[in-house]
Amino acid sequence: MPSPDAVIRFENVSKRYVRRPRTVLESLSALAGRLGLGRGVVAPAVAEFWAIQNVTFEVTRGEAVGIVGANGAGKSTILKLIAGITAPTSGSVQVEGRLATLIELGAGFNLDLTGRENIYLNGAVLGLSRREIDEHFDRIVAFSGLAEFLDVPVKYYSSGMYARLGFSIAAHVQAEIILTDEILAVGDVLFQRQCLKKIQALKSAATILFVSHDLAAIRKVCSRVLWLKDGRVQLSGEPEPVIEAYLRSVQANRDQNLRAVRSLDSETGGLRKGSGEIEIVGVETLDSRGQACAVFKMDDALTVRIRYLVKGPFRDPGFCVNICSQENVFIHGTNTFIHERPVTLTEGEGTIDLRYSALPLLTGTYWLTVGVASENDWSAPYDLRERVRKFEVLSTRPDGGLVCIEHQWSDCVPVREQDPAR
Amino acid sequence: MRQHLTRLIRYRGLLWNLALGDLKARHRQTTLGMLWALAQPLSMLLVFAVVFSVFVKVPVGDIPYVLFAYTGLLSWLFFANSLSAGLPSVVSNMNLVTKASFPREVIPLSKLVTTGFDFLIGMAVLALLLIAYHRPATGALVVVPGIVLVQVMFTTGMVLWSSALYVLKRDLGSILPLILQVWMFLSPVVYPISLVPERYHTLYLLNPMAAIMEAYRSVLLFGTLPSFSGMAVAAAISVVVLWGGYAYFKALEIRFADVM
Repeated sequence: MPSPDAVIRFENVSKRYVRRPRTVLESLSALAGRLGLGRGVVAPAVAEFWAIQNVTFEVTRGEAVGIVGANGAGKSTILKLIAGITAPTSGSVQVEGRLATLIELGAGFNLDLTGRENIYLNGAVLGLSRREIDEHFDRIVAFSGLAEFLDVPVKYYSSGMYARLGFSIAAHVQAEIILTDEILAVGDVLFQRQCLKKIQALKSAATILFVSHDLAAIRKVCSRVLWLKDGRVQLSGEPEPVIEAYLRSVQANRDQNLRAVRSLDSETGGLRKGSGEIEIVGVETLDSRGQACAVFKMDDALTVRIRYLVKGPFRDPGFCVNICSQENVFIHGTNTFIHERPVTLTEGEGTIDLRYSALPLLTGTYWLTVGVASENDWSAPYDLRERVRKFEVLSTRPDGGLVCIEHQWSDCVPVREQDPAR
Repeated sequence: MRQHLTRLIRYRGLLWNLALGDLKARHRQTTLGMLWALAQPLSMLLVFAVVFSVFVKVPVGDIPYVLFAYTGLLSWLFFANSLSAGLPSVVSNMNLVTKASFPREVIPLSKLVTTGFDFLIGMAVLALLLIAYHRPATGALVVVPGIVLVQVMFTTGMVLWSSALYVLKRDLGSILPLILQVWMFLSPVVYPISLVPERYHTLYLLNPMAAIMEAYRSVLLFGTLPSFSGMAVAAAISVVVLWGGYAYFKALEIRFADVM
């Protein structure tokens, strides 16, 4: 039942990507393959891939629709179809209204140009005239917080600054339809909050499509959620039930995956298991000056820096770090749940530090096991890497064992027999 | 078509921005800066002048050979450089094409703005040369904008057509330098058309670049109006090429993001 208010209308939309044989040689061998000749000759398959199939939905004016689904489920394809970047293979896509594509922030920056010049370039990509950009210029700069860096070429910007500038431009062009694809993937937590607030403010004036792995953000922003699975709409409706159903399916998959992904760590040879929504991509040991260091003295400060990569949806995540000896004696373990320290994860890559103020360890080799899991459930972690990194401790104390427990010897005190004479 | 044009006009800001960005990026951190726009024509002119007026004497009448060659070279370089820059432009801006929606022709057209800028500087130098050599300024000069217009139409059509085709057939990148070289020698850049046997003239002038160069020369060097029939044919071909090139580009445009 087509609604008159619909600004976006998908009817039985399918999109197929084809990789055609390109070179003459490839074409010939493909032809030979079709004729049944040259068996054994590798005929490059004409790879065909349906990004979405028979997708039908409508978005009415002023709605904020979240799109969830695993990587490759077709979320980005839907945004590209709405944006008119690509055309459907079959079915019809109708869109009314002026568009802002936030698809991958900062697309269209020219690295050699300054921030100021790129604001004009990026605004122009979004279809604004110079005068219109002039009008919004001050607000864009104020929101980005990059006033001092305006005349610096953007190639000197950090990825966070890049994202700030991109979002600030896109959010201030007064688009009627806003498409956001993983916009929270970069930038610091503070800026992400600022982004979310801005998006909520934009809701009154615009129709929003919000693609994110951050289900909390989707809950906050969206009035409706579309769950895509393998290119089809699995479920759509009120955020809460759809997100719940999606999470249950993710959980079921996780339990299956868990057995499958349990493997030897390709980097360290240690055991690794996890479902992979969040991955530990690196563990570093740093000294008190923040320099990477693998050899410590006893009572030195040690900081464990964990680099993680968010790849999928997650819920109530937390990290753990265990220290073991060379002989795999478990010496100390802690995690963020013990400290009741809520972890706010940024999408994309990030780091978290654990600092030991003074290592009470004796001379020897020690191993770190690092993990990330949901709700303190370490039987089904997102990623757990055993013995992922080692460090040496040199101690001048000749004590034996692993841990130096503070101690004092007293003087010898002879035990006197009771003087029978007394 | 009108729809396409209104959309293109709405995105003219992007066109200027891309062109300006190219110019700035090109001249930033170079010592000569804008002067580089002159380096290519002047160095080629030097080579041609030595080879074709000292080693091989190309008969060009009482016109100084330098002037003769520079006139042809200027219009040729505008055409050839536009094609060389325009051909890969869509492909090399794939980050824009796959991430944002805008009329894609803005990208190759922005290349024409930058090569056109070089052309204008070259024209200014030509004007100085003409004054230095005391060439007479006649009323025929009023048709210069017309000749430029025909050349711009032809060049634009070729750039649109080839940049779209290049997205699908990258072989074009290897063939283009060869095509341009052959094309240059089939155009009266270094020699006058009078060296071409009379019976081939009709065929020869089907190449719009030949007619355009002849027209520039007759107006700027001899102070006479160009052959009307020659320019009419060139103009007609240019309109067809522009129209066809634009239509072809727009038909292929929606597939660009998929092929990349």
